[in-house]
Amino acid sequence: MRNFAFPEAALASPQASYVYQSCRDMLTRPSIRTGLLLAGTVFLSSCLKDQVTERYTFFRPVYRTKAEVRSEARSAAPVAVSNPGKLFIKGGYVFLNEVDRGIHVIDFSQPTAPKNIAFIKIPGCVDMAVRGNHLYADCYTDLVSMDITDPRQVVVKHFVEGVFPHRRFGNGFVADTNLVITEWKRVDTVVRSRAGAGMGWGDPRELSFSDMRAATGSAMSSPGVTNGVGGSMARFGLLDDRLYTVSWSDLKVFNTADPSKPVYTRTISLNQGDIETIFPYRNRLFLGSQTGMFIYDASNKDNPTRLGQFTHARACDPVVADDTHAFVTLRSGGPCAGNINQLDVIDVTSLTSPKLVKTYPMKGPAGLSKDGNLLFVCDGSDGLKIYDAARPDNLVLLKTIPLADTYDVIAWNRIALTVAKDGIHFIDYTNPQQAFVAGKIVISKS
Amino acid sequence: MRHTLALLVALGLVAPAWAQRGFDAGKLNGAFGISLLNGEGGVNGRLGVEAGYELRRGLSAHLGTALDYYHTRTVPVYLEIHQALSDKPRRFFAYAGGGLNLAWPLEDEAGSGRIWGMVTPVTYRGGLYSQIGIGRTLGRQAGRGFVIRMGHSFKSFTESYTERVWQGNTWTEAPRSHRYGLGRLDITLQYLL
Repeated sequence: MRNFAFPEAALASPQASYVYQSCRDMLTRPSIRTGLLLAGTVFLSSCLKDQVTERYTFFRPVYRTKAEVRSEARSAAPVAVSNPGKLFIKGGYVFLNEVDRGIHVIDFSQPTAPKNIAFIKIPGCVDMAVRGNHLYADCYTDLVSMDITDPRQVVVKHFVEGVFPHRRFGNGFVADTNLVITEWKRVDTVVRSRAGAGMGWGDPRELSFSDMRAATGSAMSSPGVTNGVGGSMARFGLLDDRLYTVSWSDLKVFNTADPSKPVYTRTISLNQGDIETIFPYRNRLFLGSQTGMFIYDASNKDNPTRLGQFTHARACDPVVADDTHAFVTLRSGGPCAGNINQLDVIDVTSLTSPKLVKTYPMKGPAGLSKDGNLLFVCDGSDGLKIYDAARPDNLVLLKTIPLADTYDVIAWNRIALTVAKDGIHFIDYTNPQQAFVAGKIVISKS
Repeated sequence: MRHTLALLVALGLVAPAWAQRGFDAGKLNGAFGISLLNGEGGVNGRLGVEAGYELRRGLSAHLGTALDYYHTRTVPVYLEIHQALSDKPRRFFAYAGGGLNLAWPLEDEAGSGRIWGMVTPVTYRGGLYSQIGIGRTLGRQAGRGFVIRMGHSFKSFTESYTERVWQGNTWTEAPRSHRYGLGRLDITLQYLL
């Protein structure tokens, strides 16, 4: 700095010369230079920030009162299927859930030409069962019964309030007893924050629905009133004149002796979480969970008791059963934990100690159904597989119907109704080895 | 924006300090260095190399690149100007530079499985890089020697992926991106070639 040259003309005035000399003296002192460096460091430290600009999407709930929602439960003109859920058969009709919106009524008296004839609006519906001329469905936290003698003009008969309190939404979005969340608005947002803060539990996007999968099961019913046939993904099951519903960790019993007015009877704690499906058979209830299959004795209709269980690795597992064996698919991926995909055949001749007979590897098995010695398995992207199950320890694959992302199936009266990604397929299995798609209802993406 | 303004101010401040007597233009030099990066998110390091060209005595331009490990590994490529604050052999100099910051994450940084709900792997896009500060030549003999520098460096980059978002009782997929801007205190020791 001492040899630093400066235009001499600028130093002509005494004042400028004084300022220049002062600055130079100051900058040549080591203590001053050190001080300036430290000051610079302090200044720079205010720029030591890790910042992140996040762009993401979340869904904001739209709340409505229960009174408003209930007033919408009614028949409507048929609408396109866009988000199918579980299905149920009664008579020549398929009742197909449109998740959270209601139920499509499809006439399949001619399987080659199924017709979507009506839509029953039931906000918040993900499950159903049909007993006689009455439909039972969940309407968010309530159970609703409807007279469906004429599916095009259903009559709402009765609400049983607050029986499904597990319809909750995580992360603080818990509807109170008078409100339900009916819609989710997409919000695209940009947030600037300090990097490393994370979203954690305060993330408004994090919503969980603990009771998303429900299904209906089939069973014998009292004389004069017949129950329909449900799929294996059901959380609703009919056994005689009792409706059984499973939630995350409990079993509820409803008395449907008067089909138009189901009466809540009791709740039985299952002492077990992750319950997903129920399959009534004879006077037994087969419950599927993410960690095992549980067998309940429903001889005392209002007080089922546990007989036995079969545990397995963590996976989603719908179950169907016959007199001697239970068939359980284990699926992993997506919301299903674990890393196995297989079909387990379990000997249930001793209900208190079921035993694994054999395991068959699968691609991504979901719902299944049994008709006589024929076993139908929805195997994800592989499609629908039809097995000869005359010897459960040696299932013989008879036919694979290639369908995209099969989800659930009900095999009944030579027609296998299969829900897949692109539609509901009506598969004629009169000759199982030459089963074919006789008809289809297309899913239209809205 | 702040960094751009800071660069312009710095260049404006050092310009009047040009040495007036003679020039050693046209001289090439090189350096490699190791840096300590101290930021809000922790401490990490950078390994870099530079090639310089003397434009005139006391003023040189350098082209540099490095492996910057702060937060996520990136490769900055930058152009830098050095301005000597005296013409002594051991002298202070000011430096300022900027360029691009190319993302080159390590395998365990690339978001594989560490982000809940992630559907697609994380992809990275580079951003900008800048640095500014003061340095001092510690000694130079036959053109070789050591330099210590202290200043502020900044880098930015973006990570993007598709995630699964709950919508009531169903999943839906939506894009998500994080654009990081990381400012650090930068202390570098260089060996001149």
